[in-house]
Amino acid sequence: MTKTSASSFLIAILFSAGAHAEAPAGASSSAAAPTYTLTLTVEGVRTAEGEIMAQLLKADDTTGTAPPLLGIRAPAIAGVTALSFTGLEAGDYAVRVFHDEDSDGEMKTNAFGMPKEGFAFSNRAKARFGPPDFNDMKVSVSADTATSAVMAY
Amino acid sequence: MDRRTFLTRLAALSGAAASITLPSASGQTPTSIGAIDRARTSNPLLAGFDNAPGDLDFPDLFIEGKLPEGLSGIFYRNGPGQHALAGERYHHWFDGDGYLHRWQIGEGRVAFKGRFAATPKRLAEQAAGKFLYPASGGGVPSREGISGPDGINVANTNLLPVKGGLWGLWEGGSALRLDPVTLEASGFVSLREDFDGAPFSAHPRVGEDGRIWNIGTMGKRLAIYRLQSDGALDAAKVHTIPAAGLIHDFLLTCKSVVVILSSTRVEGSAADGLFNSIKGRPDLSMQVKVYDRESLTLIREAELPAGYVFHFGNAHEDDTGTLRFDMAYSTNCDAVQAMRAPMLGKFPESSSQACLVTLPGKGAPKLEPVKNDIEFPRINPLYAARRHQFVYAAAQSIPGKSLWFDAVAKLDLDTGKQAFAYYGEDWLVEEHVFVPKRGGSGEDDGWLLGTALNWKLQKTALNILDARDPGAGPLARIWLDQPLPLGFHGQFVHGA
Repeated sequence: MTKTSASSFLIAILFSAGAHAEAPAGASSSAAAPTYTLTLTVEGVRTAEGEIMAQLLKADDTTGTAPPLLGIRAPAIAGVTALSFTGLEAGDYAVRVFHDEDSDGEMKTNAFGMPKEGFAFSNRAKARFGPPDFNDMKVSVSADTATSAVMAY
Repeated sequence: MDRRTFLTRLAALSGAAASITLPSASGQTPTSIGAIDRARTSNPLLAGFDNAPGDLDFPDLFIEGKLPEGLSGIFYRNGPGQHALAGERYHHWFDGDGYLHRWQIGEGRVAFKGRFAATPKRLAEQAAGKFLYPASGGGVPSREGISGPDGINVANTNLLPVKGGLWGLWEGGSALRLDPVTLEASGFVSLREDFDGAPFSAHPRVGEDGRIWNIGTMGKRLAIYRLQSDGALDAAKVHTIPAAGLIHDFLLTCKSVVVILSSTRVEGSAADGLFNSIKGRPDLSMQVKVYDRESLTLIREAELPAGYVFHFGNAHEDDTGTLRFDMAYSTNCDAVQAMRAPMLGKFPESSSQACLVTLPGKGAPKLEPVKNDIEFPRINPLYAARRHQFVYAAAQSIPGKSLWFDAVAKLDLDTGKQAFAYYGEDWLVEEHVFVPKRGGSGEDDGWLLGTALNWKLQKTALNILDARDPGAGPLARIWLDQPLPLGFHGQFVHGA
C-alpha cells in the first residue's frame, strides 16, 4: 500500500497521537512528457474569501510513498471552486486542499496544531481521527480525469 | 506566492504531522445491538447502560425522608446517555452523548430537569436518525468526516459552573456553553482564538482563591490553562510530553499543577477509534510532572509505580516541597479498555484502590493503600489545594461481592478510619459530591449528594447523606419514577 509521505497539512491531526511522519520529499521533476489533466471540483466552499490551495501527491512505487509533486491555487468561489492540474503523466495521485480564507498562504492552526481553516481531499475522502489514507484519496490517471473533494470546516 | 513557497509552507506545516492510515469505509462493520439486547433482557442491572429517555421535567419529586435544613441549590450531573442508535451500539462506555441532570433543591421541594447536551454532533445525528461520526471507542461506521475534535464532542463527562454560567465538559475538545436554568446549549466556549477546538479536559480544579486550572491533552501535547472564576482565560501554555493517551484528571496545590501520566502509551492504530491506540505499559513507571501554577512552567519531575489513574482526590504541598495526595489507583494499565465491558452487557472487571501518596521533595514516594474497590473520589471543595483529611467515594462494601458500587465510603486519610453508607444489593451507586454546610465547622460538616440506580425497582434516586455520619444512611432520598443510565460526575451550586 502506498503511504502518504507528506502526512498533510492536517497537522497534529485531530486525535492522532503524534506518530512520526516521514519528512515530505521535495517536488520531483518528471522526465516523461506530461499528457493528461486532472480536474478537481471542490464542493462546500463556504465563502469567496481568499483562495483554495491544492497540493498534488503522486504515488512512487519504488519508495512506497506519495510525495508532494506540486501545488496550485485558485480564488475561492463560494459553493464550488474548480482547479486543474495539467501535464500529468499516468499514475496514481491524490490531492489535499485547504481554504486559505485569510490569504496568508498558510493553513491556520490552533495551539495543538489542529486546522482552523477548512480542508478537503480528492475522491471525497474524509478525515476521521486523522487525515485519510492515500488509498482513500487516490485518483488513478490514465486519461483526462475528474475528481471531487468536499470541504470540512 | 510562487509554487515553491507554497510547497515550503505546506512542508513546514506537515513537519509536526502524524500520518494515520485509516481503513476504507467498506472495512468497517456496523455493530449490532443484538448481543446486549439479549443480555439486557436477562439482567436488569444493565438498565445502567440503557439510553437516557430524552427530555424530562418533574417540578415536584417524591421525597423519602426529609431534606436537611439549610441545603439549597442545584445539583448538576453529566454522563453518557446515548449508547445506541438505529440498531448500532457504541463499543465504549465513554462515547455516548452527554445527558445532563439538573436537580433543584430548596424550600422543601426538589425539581428535576434532564436534557441531552445539544452538541453539533448530537444535533446532526438526531436529524439523520443514525450515528454519523467516528467514536473514540470505535465500532461504529464513520459516515461523515470531521474537521476537528469538536466534530465528535459529546460533552458527556462533567460540568463546570463558572460565574453566571455553566459549561458541559468532555476531554477531547472544547467546553460546551449551557444555560444553567434550561440546560440549552449555545455553542462551544472560545477561551482564546489560538485554543479554539483544542482539548479542555473534564476535571478542572478550582483553587482556594476561586481561580480555575485545567489541562488538555492530545498526542504529545499537554496544555495547561488558568482561568478567572468567570471562565475568562488568564494564561495557557502547551508542553510536550510522552503520548500517554488519556490524562483524565490532575491535581492542584496552592503552588503547583501536578500532572500524572499513567502507564500507557499511544502505540496502536487509531483507525478504529483513539482508545484502540492506547496500550497498557506495565513496564513503565507513572510519570509525575509538576508545573508552577503561576508561570505554568515545568519545575519538577518524579516517578510512581506503574499503574493507571482516572481520578485524584486532592493534593497538598508543604514548604519542603512534599506532595501529599490521594488517588483511585489501578494496577491494571489497560483500565481504559476495561470500560468497554458495559457496552457488551457486562460490568467492568477492572477496579481501583484509594491510595494515599506522599512524594517528598527528594527521595522515594510512599504509597499507602486505603481501601480497595472505590472510584469517583470527592472532597470538601473548601479544602481544595489544601491539606485534607477526608475523601468520599463510591465503593464496594465488600470487594468483589457486587458487580458495581453498592456503598458510599468516607475515608479518613489521617487515622485510616472508614465509614460506609451501605445502599444494599439492589443499588448501583454513583459518584457522591460533598456539599459544605454554610457556616459549618470542620472538614466533614456537610452533605453528600449523589445518584444511585435501584435496579430492582428500575428507578433512579438522588440521595442525601450526612457527611459526618454516612453510616446512618440517607437523610433524604428523592425518587425519579424511572431509571437513568449510570453517569460520571456532578457539581453542586449553592442557592442564593
